[in-house]
Amino acid sequence: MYSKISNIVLAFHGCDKNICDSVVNGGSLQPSTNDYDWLGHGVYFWESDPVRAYEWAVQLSKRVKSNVHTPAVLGAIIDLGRCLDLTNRQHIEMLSLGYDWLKQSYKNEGKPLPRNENVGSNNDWLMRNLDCAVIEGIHAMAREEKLQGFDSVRCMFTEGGHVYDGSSFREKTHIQICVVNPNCIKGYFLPREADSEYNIP
Amino acid sequence: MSVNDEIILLSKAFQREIKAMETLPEEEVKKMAHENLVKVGIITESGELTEPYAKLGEHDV
Repeated sequence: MYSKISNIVLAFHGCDKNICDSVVNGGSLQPSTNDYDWLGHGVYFWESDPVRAYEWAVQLSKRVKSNVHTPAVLGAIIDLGRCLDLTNRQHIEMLSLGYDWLKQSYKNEGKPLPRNENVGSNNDWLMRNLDCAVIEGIHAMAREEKLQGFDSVRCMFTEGGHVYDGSSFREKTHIQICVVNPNCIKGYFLPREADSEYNIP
Repeated sequence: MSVNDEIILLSKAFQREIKAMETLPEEEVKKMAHENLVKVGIITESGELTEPYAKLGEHDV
């Protein structure tokens, strides 16, 4: 588990404080298996962004029937392993073929292709049913071809309002990680406040 | 095998199957498409949508 040194990132998961406490004391996070998950099924993290993870936990706490009562942030040390990196051109080109394959499959099965959809007045396509199905299709093809497959999926997303008039920068832009292989997660921690007496290296 | 080598193989596999679905007889294509969606976990062997795809459109947000 710990002998290989490579590709390590710190990432953060927004959730209820009880979950944080349980996980740092030996528990584990459950993978998300929604049909609208942005990067397919797995455990989700915000790369290097505890603030965004906290905002997400707060957002979750406001939902009807929410399981988040006390928003909190869990840190994780993750080795991305064999990563499907959707900031990489070659990986994106394969993603496109995966879409074509899925589209043909749905058409020939006589079923409508899933779609990404907005929720309410939000225009960020929060429900990514199509993208989820395409990524799950890629994992399925890797299994079918008896390949090693992917331990994680990673992508940068732009989201939210424009930072200033005419800007292309968006307020909630982030890098999201979906961990498929739980062995990628080398450990969990509770983020700490910086000591103001020292620089942050 | 490196990740990038695997990406190449996956790309070829997708291209091969897309071509097959464009050229094979209709019955074989339907069977192949059905098996594909079962493999992805979208439908069962009997053609029913699986959980969570059965809940498409119903979300608590």
